[in-house]
Amino acid sequence: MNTQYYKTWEEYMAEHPEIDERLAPVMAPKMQGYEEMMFAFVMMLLM
Amino acid sequence: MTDAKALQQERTKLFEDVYDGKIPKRVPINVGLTLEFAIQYAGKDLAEMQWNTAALEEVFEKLCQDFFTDTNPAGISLRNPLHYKLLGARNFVMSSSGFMQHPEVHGLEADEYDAFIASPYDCIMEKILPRIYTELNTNPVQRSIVFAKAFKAYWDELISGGMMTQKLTDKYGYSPIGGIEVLTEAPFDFVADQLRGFKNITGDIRRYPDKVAAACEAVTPIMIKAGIPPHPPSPYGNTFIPLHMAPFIRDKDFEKFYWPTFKKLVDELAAMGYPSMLFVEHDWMRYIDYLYELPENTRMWFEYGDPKLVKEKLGKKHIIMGFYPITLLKTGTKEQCIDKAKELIDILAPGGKYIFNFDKGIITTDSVNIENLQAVLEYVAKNADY
Repeated sequence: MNTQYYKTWEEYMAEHPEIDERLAPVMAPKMQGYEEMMFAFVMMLLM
Repeated sequence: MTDAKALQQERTKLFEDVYDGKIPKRVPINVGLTLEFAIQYAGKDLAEMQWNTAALEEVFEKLCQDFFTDTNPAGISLRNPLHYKLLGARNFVMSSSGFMQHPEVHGLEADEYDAFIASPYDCIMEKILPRIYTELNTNPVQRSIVFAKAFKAYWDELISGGMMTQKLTDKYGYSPIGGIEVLTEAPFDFVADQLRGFKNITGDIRRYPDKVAAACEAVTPIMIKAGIPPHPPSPYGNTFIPLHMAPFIRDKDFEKFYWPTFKKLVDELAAMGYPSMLFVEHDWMRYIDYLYELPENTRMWFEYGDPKLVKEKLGKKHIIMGFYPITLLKTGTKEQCIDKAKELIDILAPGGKYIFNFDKGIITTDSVNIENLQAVLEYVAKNADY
């Protein structure tokens, strides 16, 4: 999306090498879920 | 199996058959009644009930009991006043009568097109939202607090409303498919509606045609993303796209500014397995050949136009809804109202690919004769078998 205000999980992981690889699969749906909720909220504000 | 469960399966099959291109047992009915209508019908205070949403179950229950449809008639409102008030919204404001009014606003200035084209989402976050939502036009700390409250309020209300309607869907045996899942917009409509406003955009397409076209292109990936429901692809889903501006612009402007990115939106969603439900607002008859080009089984809910022409040109490829004029429910006799339902079913039902609905949502109880509304729904339920 060419933005600094939305990140995919892969982009987030690239910026956070400290994240334990073992935990990443369980963290991903939760962390990315909130990213998607924020995106949906922002878009709804203009529709 | 309970009666409600059996009824739900039967109703779900009606929609599955239509979406699968099969002839259903009967014409399915997908009539959603607005929150405003529901509150008025229950005799409650419109403003108070929109703030006291936990009490809406009783309101919705009355709709389910009194009006026949195959999908849940009770719709939660996207225009919940709570998050709009927290944000200091200028675009959606509750009137003294309790209706959420939508004043003409614009959040993007003409000299900001380049910034929007470079990064639409950054521009939305940095420039547009603080202009439309006055409580965000403050220091970064206060803005974060306001945004956090509004975000939580929005999702709390949406999730609790969804749970409430889901409970009624199961209790009354409604089809869980057939309704709206997520909302997105045609890119040109998105740029026009709240970014530039109706008045500005009509001047922009003459003054800055290349920038308008580029803005529509730039925002298209975001509109596609907004239209993806939070579940795996399904032929039974519905991404809702209300179409606004096309009837108000010239054919050559439609061709240049509206159609290319709108088609890309619907095409890409379909390619990913997400069918679109278009609310074809106003009269699109001059664009009917364009609509044919959209992916097979696109759902098209028509407001005005010629049902015979639509059936002839689109009816074998797409799924048709709408056309029934709600004004008739106010002005007509019961017999006239039923005759109109029969007329539309005779035109639109042959061969399947038809779902009964009115030409628009019913917003107030005094805009229709309730007995006529009930009579039409009952008529379709009992007389539209294949």
